[in-house]
Amino acid sequence: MTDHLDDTMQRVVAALRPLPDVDDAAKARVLVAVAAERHRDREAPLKRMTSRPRRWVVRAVGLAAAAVVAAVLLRAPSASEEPTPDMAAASSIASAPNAQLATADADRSIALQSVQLVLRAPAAARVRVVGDFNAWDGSRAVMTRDPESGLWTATLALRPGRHVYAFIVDDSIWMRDPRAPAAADADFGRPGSVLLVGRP
Amino acid sequence: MRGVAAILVLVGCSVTALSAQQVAFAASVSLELDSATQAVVTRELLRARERGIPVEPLLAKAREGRLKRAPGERIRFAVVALAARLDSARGALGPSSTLSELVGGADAIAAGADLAALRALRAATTGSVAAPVGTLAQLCASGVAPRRAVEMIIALLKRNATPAQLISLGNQVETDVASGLLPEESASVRLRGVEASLGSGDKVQLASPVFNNDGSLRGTTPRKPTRRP
Repeated sequence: MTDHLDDTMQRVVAALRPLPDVDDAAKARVLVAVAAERHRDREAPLKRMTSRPRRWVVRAVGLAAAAVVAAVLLRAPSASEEPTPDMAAASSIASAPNAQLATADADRSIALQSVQLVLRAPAAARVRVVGDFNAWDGSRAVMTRDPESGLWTATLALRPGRHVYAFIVDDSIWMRDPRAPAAADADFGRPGSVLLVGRP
Repeated sequence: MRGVAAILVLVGCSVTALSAQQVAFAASVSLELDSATQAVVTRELLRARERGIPVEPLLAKAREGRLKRAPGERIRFAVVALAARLDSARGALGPSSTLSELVGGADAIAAGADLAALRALRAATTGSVAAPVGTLAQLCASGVAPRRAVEMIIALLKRNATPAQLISLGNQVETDVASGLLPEESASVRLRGVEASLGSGDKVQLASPVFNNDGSLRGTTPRKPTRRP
């Protein structure tokens, strides 16, 4: 009987184990929400404390002592080292693909806009797009070749504003977008292209 | 007793977390940089964290330099300069500024805006200044005089212009200038365009200057105490 149950349970577990595919943007949204929730949780104990006057003083003294000891031992890192919601979100999804693209500030009231980049590079085996929107991390935005036209394309969700980007062909060739204006580069002297998102 | 234990646990966790973060930073800087550059970048990252400055933009700058195959010296210089700009932006915009506000502020400083301009924008709104400082950076980089740009943005903020409208203004001026229009000319025309989109037909008032003649923010100079009779 027990063996039978175990067998059934194992089959149920096996059936439930495979996880459905979730797209990266959805994952990023969930992680941002989790980070925001974590931030709220951090504030919750303080709210509970203020609602219990008798215990408040004792707990406040304990927390203050802990804070002082921690500050001395850690050479008092600055107050803003405690992450703001957007920073917490950013660090939470730092390893997700296209992480920065989905890292909207909690206070940002502007919606991301979908932008498609296109490059004609018929001889290329691999093209990536790098820019300020993905923190110049090419592994986050690999372009795909359109089978019909042979063009390389990538669709990105970008914040409105000015972005600078470039293509990296076959992991070695730096290429500006021939369709976009050049962006001067005072730091490294290697211009990229300008992408303006949010024009009416 | 429980309290002491809790304190020790808290301290232990904090030390462990900080060490782990430092190791993570050191690892993340290992972007095939030469050892001298890696040392400088790591130092800047740790220094930035101590000062409460976000490290993501510094890492991105190092990564950008490596992708562009810039010499180590240039990468070091760029990272150090960006850290200084972020620090200045944080000083002007306040310690609770968000990542995008600080990055926009640093961009604005790089484009020629001064700290008084950033302070003026922060004082002009209770909301996020990410879009205003980003627009300031864009207008300054396009050749609009920083003071004029600040006054335009503040006037629009007073009219409840949305972040999207501000960003649109910056984008339009940059496009105009790239196609040959003079910066001030474009700024005036595009400002009127935003005015129209704000409705009500009122013109944005630029008559009240934001700055005093000595460059300080208006309203921030201490007043002489008045004697009571």
